[in-house]
Amino acid sequence: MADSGDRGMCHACGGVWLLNRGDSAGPESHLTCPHCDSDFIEIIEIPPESPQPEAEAEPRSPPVNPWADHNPWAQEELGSGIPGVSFQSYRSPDGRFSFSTTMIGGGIPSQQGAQPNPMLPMVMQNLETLFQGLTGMHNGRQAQQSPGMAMPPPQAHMAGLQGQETGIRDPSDVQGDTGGPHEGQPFNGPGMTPVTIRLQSIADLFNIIQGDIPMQQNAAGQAAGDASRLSPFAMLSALMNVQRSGDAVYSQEELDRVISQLIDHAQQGNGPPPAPESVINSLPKKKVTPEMVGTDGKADCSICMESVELNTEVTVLPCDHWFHFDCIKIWLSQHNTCPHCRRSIGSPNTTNSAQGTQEDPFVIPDSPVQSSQQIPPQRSSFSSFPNNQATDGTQSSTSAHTHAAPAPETEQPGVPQESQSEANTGSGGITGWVWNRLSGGGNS
Amino acid sequence: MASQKRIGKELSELTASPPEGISVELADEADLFKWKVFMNGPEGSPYEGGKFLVNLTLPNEYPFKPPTVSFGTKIYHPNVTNDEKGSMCLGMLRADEWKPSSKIAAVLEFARQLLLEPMPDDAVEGRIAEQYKSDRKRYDEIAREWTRKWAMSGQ
Repeated sequence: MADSGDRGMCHACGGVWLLNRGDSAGPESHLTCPHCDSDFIEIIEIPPESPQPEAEAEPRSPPVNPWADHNPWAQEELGSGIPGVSFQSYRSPDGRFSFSTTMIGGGIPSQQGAQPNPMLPMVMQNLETLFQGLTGMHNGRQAQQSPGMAMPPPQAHMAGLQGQETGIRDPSDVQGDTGGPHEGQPFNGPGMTPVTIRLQSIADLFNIIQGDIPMQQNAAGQAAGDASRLSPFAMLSALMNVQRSGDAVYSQEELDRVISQLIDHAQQGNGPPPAPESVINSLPKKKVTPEMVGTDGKADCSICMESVELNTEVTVLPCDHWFHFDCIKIWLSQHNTCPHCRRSIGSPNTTNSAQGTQEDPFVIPDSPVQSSQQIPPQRSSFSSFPNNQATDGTQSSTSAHTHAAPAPETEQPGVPQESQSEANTGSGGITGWVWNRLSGGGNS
Repeated sequence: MASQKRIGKELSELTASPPEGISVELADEADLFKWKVFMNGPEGSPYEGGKFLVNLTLPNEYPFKPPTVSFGTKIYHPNVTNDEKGSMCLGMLRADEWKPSSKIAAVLEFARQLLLEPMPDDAVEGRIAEQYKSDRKRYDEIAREWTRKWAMSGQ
């Protein structure tokens, strides 16, 4: 404030004098006209200097673009003294797109150019990352095309950039823009080239999306633009899944397709999960005894429907149903339930107890002692419903044992094991329970 | 090839003693997995007197995967799609319902039972299901008319 720029003007005599503002804190008497002593004076404040940033910015910012000056960053960035940088923001007339860009027109000091876009605001950097990925391939292609042009590569990119801008702005602006101070200057560092390409790609993309923008571009812009006109859009389209399914669909047909896909998936996915091979292989095997076959002395494997003779070795599931090992193995490797009564045979996939590991879970234990140790704490955490199930399983298998004399030793351990895993399978266990209820009476 | 053995067994059983109103044959003698089933409309149903062709296709993984059933004869039924596929929705054939111990004979009997007692709550043709529930008389009329038109006189 304390400078000698301010002047006093006396409205009484019209005199003007230099005001010493350094004394302005002093007595009022100083604020009188030195010529006529009138106090009817006016202090005319003269700005100490013309604001430097504005003075410099004038020629550099894009001249007439009506949107350009709204960029809040423009002033401070330009004020920081980086030459040749201009910002624009754009909002389409219908308001669907808004868009801002940073232009580096050249003349950047090389140490500035070496830094990764220090002048870009955060948003632009994010955009840059996106488009860098989108156009990485095309940059290479453009680089190959560029040498064929009259201008050296950086200039070609430069021209391409201008060409794209032409599409965005009012064509009448181009003249002024071309005459701007930063135009025509060669790029000083190779580090600048990628920046320009990225910006060009943004402009390209935007241009394409706009669609209604006339394609009045100069020759170089045309060439550079052609290289990436369609592909970025295709990539963007693929990225956003505009036409294909993804999460959003835009037509009844697509919606139907998605729904039927979901239905198919649900139908296939509803089956019980496969049993692990270790569990399948560890299922007990035994020879068919007279007690296992019907009163007519005949029995068959309900999978292959072959009749099974006495003393044939079969695999017995925890539910007491037995099958050829080769037959049941195929089924269990798809679904871990009994093909007959649907009770789960137990698998680590459906249990998440702390006991056992994926490899050694609830495989039917060799020693009944071990299983009796495991079961009680398990049961205590069950809800009442699975408990009923477990009890039921025990009962049904016990009743089966009255017919199958040799069975108990091998099967007794299996029963709690089976009910235990079933209790953890959620709906599968319930299904098994229902099936067991429905079919258990007839089977035992 | 275990599947072929079982299929052959089931085919011979079905040929020897077919369920009531059902006859089966192979669509192609060389292909065990495609069957032609002729199903007589059950008595007391609007399909009575009609003879319906049902195509039964067995997957290679049979019996570990369910067969599919479709009507080759046009039929007016809540549980059969009214298109050229004529797909029939059978609960027991769904992946989570199927069990390998189910036999084809049971599937076919179930399908025929469905002609007698449609399941409108599990329908694939919602409009027909609605009509079946709200205007049974009209449903019977149309079903009978379709039967006469498509399922009689050697169709």
